[in-house]
Amino acid sequence: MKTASRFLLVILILAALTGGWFYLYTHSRAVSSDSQNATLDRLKDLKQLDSDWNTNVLKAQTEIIRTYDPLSQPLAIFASILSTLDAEMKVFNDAELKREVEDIRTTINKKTLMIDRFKAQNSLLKNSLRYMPTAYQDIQTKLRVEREAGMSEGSRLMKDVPGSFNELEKSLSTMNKTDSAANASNVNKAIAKLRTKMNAAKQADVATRGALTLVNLDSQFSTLVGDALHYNTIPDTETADRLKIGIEKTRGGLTSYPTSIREDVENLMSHLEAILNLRTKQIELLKAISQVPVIAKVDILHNTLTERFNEELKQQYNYQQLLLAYSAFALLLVFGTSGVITYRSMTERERLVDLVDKQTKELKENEVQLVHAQKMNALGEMVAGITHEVNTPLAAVKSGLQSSNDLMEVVREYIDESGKLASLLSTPNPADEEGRAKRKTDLGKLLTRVNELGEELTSFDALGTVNQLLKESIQNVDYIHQVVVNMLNFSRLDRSKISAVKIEEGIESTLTIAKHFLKNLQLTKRFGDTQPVNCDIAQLNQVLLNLIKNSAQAMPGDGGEIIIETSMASSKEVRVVITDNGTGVPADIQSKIWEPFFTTKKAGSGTGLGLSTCAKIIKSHGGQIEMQSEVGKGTTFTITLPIAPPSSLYEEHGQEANSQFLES
Amino acid sequence: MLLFSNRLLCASALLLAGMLAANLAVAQSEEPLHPLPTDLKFDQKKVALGFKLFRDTRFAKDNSVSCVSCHSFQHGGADPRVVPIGVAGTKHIFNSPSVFNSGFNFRQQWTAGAASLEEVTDKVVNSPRVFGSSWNEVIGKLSQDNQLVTDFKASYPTGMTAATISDALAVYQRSLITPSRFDKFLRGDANAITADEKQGYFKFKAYGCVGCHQGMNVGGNMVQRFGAMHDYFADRKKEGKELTDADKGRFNVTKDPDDMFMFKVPSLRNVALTAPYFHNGSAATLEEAVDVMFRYQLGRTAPAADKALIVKFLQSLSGEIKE
Repeated sequence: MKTASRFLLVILILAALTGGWFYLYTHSRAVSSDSQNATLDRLKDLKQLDSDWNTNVLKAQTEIIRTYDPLSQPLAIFASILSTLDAEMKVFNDAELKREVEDIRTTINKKTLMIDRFKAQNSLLKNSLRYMPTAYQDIQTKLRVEREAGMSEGSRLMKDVPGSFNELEKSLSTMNKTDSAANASNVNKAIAKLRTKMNAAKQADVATRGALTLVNLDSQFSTLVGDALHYNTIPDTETADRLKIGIEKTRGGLTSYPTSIREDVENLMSHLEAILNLRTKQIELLKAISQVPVIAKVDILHNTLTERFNEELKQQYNYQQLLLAYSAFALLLVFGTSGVITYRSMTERERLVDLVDKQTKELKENEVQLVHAQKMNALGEMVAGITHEVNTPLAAVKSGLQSSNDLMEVVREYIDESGKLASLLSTPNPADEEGRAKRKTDLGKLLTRVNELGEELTSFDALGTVNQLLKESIQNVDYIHQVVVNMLNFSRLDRSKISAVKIEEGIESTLTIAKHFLKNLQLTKRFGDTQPVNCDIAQLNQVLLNLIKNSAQAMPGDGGEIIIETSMASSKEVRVVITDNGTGVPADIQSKIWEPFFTTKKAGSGTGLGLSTCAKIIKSHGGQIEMQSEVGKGTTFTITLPIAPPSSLYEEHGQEANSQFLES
Repeated sequence: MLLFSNRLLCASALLLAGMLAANLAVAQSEEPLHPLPTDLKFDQKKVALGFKLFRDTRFAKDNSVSCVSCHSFQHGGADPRVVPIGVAGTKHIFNSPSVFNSGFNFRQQWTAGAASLEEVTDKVVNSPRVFGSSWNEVIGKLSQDNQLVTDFKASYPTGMTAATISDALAVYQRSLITPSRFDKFLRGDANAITADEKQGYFKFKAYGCVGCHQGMNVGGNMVQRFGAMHDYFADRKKEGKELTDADKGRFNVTKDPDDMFMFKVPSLRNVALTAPYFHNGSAATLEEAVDVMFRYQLGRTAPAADKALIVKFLQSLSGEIKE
């Protein structure tokens, strides 16, 4: 729990350190000069686009370009750049920047409206300029027709005038010669004729003068058209005024013009007027367009942004400094901590080594306890075995002694009575009669009693019987002694722990102990010539007892055979093989049998410590234990033991000697 | 030294490029009409979405009409009626302009009141004369269409919204490009149009029609006063036709007196298919429309033969829609 919270604390501190570092790191790189440059580039694009726009307006005005596509195409690009800028300004969350972008948008919209107007006006202006010469030519053509008609009428009318004068002269000369009434009437006729002619001539003059007026008219239109063209090229107020007056004058005299040209003139005038008005407006409009402060507005945003960017850079620089300091601090911290940790881990390692040693010791002690418990188990087993062996002779000894004791009661009485008789006999006969008679009676009584007792003793040969009983008791006691010696041999409680013992001795003493559960089994011993093994024979006996017991328990009810073989596995190893023809161990549990607490026996009938303890004991002796088994055929345990056990065994027993279990 | 020469090289290369660009600009300026681009690419998934939406009557409050109802593919993307009829039989006040090539228009609608096709969608959804609906209502109806919702998610991370619906429709409409025989002619195929049509094109230029109907879309990139040289609306009044709101044109949008009677100059592409003409649909035939243009816009007359040639030229502007 404590470790967990400490671990958590370390994690938290590390997280805080890393978090702080990343905070500074990201802030020291927050400014992307790429994105800054991209934003500033966009502003440059806007300015470039705007100046191209201006150029294209002028190009359209001068008809270098003849479509308005280049004037309308920037709209979509402006919109897209502005919407990108909108998005970019959002990051700053700065009302000023937002307003400045909005300012650019408003300004561009204003300019767009002006350019829309320019397009509309320019197309009309160009149309009028294009059409004006044609319109003028049309009028000119019609005027020529009118003029020629007037002139020819005049000349036709004047054609006869000279002839009339000749006629008049002729009449006058005739009148001077003849002075007749006929002549007078001829003269009058001639004069009248001449007057008619003169009238006609007057008319002809009118016609010619009309034609002359038309010529003047033509030149008036021509001047106006020239003025209009001039005004389009050089729009000065003088020409404008002249044009305005000329148009007014022409329109005022419209009714005096030949009907055939009136409409055309009117049309020409409206185009002239259009040129005058549109061109005047255009100058103002172009000036206004060029003055729309798109670039100025973009520059304002540019300056504000540059300021912001510089601020950001400055801040970033501060963060970078801070990051540097922080990193240095963190590095120091890391080195310091790692130093402390190294020192700690070294001391900790020592502590751990101690701990491991202690735990290993405890573990071994536990193991020793376990082994001892097993030993106690075996002792229990042994006690169960010897109880039976000892109880019967003990009962016989008891009953023999009891019988001897009973018999000895009679012998004691016989001896008492005999003693009393002997002491009475040795006393002198009393003087008085009464005394003599009493002595005689007592002697008689005692004699009878002693005789009775003697007869009784003789009748069942008391002494022989006691002798026999004692003999039997001694035999029984001897047997018990033998049993006890066997027990001692088995447990070796009386000897030093490790000694050189022939393994067959161990087997024999074990078999004695195991006798009571081997009753129904056939036991075959094939002992080879083996060398004594340096071992803790008590422990090995325990192993042997365990294995023999297992074999015995593995037998089917109707008995079986156990073969115990000993031999030299090599010059330095002794081998013990215990084979039974019992039920065998199923393959699936063969690998488990060496595990502690594994058992196939019914619950309560075994601790399950058996085989794992056996393996441990054999291992501690530097030996090996193996099992081969086949279900239905039987099981073979093979133990191989070195004659000289590893030194650790001695150490173990040294410790064991210190252990309180065996001392108490 | 090396650096210097490199720089010099760069500078001269730039200069050369500039000159080339300038030459190109001059070369381009020779013709007032430009061919349609042939290399435009569109997101086909969005085009497919737009195609469906364009024919979807759920935009209308009463599910009676869709976009295609008044922008018919049989009529050059416009409507043969004088004025189109929208939701609940409501008559519009403007004649229906063509959707074909509308992506190349500088602004949309007769009044140039919409800056983009996206904006048009927003306007028509809410317009009582078109769909008479609202985005909430439209999206409410459309989002019940699982297939459509799935298709939108496939094309737009934000799924179906007013913005993505408008975008899909705009992408679709931008894809409606109608290259014509005349484009081939502009690209150098001298025999792509007939001799009469060529003559008509020369007249079209000579009479100054190209003053307004110029550029890639033969118009659609500027506004102009209707009745520039003669008062069209005064003459209409003489015929007994009172001034309508629609007649006020761009004034409706800007409220600027200078914008009175100003209209977007329509593109003349497919003009032969989009009768009747003008914002009020008052000209039933192309000939009639050309006459009106001569009188009121050019302020001049022309021989009938010339006008007939111009009409022939205009017919060569009809293109094909790839569907």
